[in-house]
Amino acid sequence: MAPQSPLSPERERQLVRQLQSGDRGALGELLGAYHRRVYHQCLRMLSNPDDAAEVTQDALTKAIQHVDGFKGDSRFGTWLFRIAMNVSISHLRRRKVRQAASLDKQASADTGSDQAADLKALLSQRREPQPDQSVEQREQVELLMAALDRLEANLKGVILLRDLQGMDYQQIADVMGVPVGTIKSRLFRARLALREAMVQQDQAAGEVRDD
Amino acid sequence: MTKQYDEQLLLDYIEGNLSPAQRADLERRLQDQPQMLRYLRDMTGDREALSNLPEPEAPAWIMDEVDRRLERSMLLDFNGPGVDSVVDRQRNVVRRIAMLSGLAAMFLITGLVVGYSLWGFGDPGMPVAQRSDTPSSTAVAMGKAGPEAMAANQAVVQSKPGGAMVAMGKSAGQRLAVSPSPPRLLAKADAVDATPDTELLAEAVTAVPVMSVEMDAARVMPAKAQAMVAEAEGAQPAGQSLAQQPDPAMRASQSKLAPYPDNVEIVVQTDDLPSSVAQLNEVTRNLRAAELRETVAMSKAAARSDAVRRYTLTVPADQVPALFTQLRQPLRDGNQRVAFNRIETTTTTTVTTRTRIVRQLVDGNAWPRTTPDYNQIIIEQLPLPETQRLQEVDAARRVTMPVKVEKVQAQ
Repeated sequence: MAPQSPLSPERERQLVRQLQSGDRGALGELLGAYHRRVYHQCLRMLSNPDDAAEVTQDALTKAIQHVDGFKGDSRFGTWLFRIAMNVSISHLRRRKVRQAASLDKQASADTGSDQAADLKALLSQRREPQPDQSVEQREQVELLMAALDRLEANLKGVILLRDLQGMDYQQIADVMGVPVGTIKSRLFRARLALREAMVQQDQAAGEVRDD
Repeated sequence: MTKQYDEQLLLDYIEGNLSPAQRADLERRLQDQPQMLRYLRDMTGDREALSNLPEPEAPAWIMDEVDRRLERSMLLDFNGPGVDSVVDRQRNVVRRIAMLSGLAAMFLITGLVVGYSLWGFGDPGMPVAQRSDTPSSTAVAMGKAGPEAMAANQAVVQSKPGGAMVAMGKSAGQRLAVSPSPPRLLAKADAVDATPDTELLAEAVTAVPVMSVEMDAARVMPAKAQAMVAEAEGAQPAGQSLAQQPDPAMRASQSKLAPYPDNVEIVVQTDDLPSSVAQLNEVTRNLRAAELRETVAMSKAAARSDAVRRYTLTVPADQVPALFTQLRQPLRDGNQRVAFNRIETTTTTTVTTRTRIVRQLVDGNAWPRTTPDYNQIIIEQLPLPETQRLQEVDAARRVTMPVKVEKVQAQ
């Protein structure tokens, strides 16, 4: 299970108090504590390390710019992830539009160039040093990532916030800006969609192995 | 038959939120649906796989840029909120001053434009149409905005023997202003009419000799009434005839009043007299007897017992005898009577009326008019001499032919 918070609750509350009193140094410590989790979320959302880094930096910069808007009504992590999710979903939509335009533009003869790039990016971020993982586990992770990549942004975001970040329903609702009931329904649909995508990916992989 | 499942229950099963008893109960109910049960367990495995995904290291350069932004933000903060607030206050004050100055300038310009359009800058008592020698763009704009309002400002300018200039509205009797300034609208009218949108067809000049009649009016108590008053007061010396003690005003008027004695009020004739007499905008028309009587009656009604009012009436020379007759008729008001003394003519001059008949080459409604619309005046009031050829023109053609007539008067 992913850690709930990189900071102890008491330390985070203290930093938030300092931040609300105008201490920008506290903001630096909070961002430094959360930036890795934000990057992880963005990486799983975007499936591309470079895009994830760019979006993470963009989200942290926006947090600095709009820190006055943080009133302390929610946890700092929730507020920061809301920014990160908005930036990530916007990036995904832009990329989807670009891909659609690119597909329209290119002939089917040279298909695979973009997909190959995506696959390379996927493989590169999967080539993480995981000495304890078996080959089977790594294959399972790759399948999971590929299936996750087929989900639409909202479903992917909900399931990543729940499973990857370990947020409860209320926190997810705060991040996504929807009611808790919607989050639950969306989460169940996301799990179903992920499972179906996993089955399809597994079947496709089996066909490749048979070939 | 498709079974309905509680979505919340299944989600709780996947996420491990059910108690062992609830979990066992659900699994027991799904015994006859092994595929569904396996599906739920696979989803549980997916959740565990996602939860166990390793957290990669974030590139260091992400925080480099963030730290740079943060340092900049801190430096700005280090300048102090006090400094910022002072600077902000100063900026607000400067911004507010600039805004107010802009508003004031806007109102000033608007006021100047409107004021110039209405009164101009030179003589505050007279409409601009009478003072500007050249047509101003503002006047044109005003005329475009409201031709009727522009026409209301148009004036007939007349010079009288006394040197006064009376500005009249288009309708007779509507007095706009009285000013001793010389008539300068003539140049403006010429300048406007010099535009190529009109064509001079004819010019008629009429010279009318006019005379100014100066008279002193006073309200006099008859001798019988004075005797009754004196008897009541018992103040009169015995043996002195009351009739030999004239009213002070009467005595002053009878004793060859000085040009401006203390008890003489100089009455501007145009303030009291009927329009057709005083304003002389219809000098070519004969004064009617009723108008003369009305003029004299007004003068007598305004007469006072404590002062002599001096009037100067300007009438066409051929109407002077009729005026004298009216002035000499006695007028009684209760036990008093009004006497006109020192009736004499003072100046004699000639009022020249030059009537220009021009044809509009463009639609008169498209541009503001700077002169009165004399089309109707000609048709309704001026009995222009019609030639035989003009009489043959049918009425419809005469109406459709736009004609503008301008009066220019000079002494």
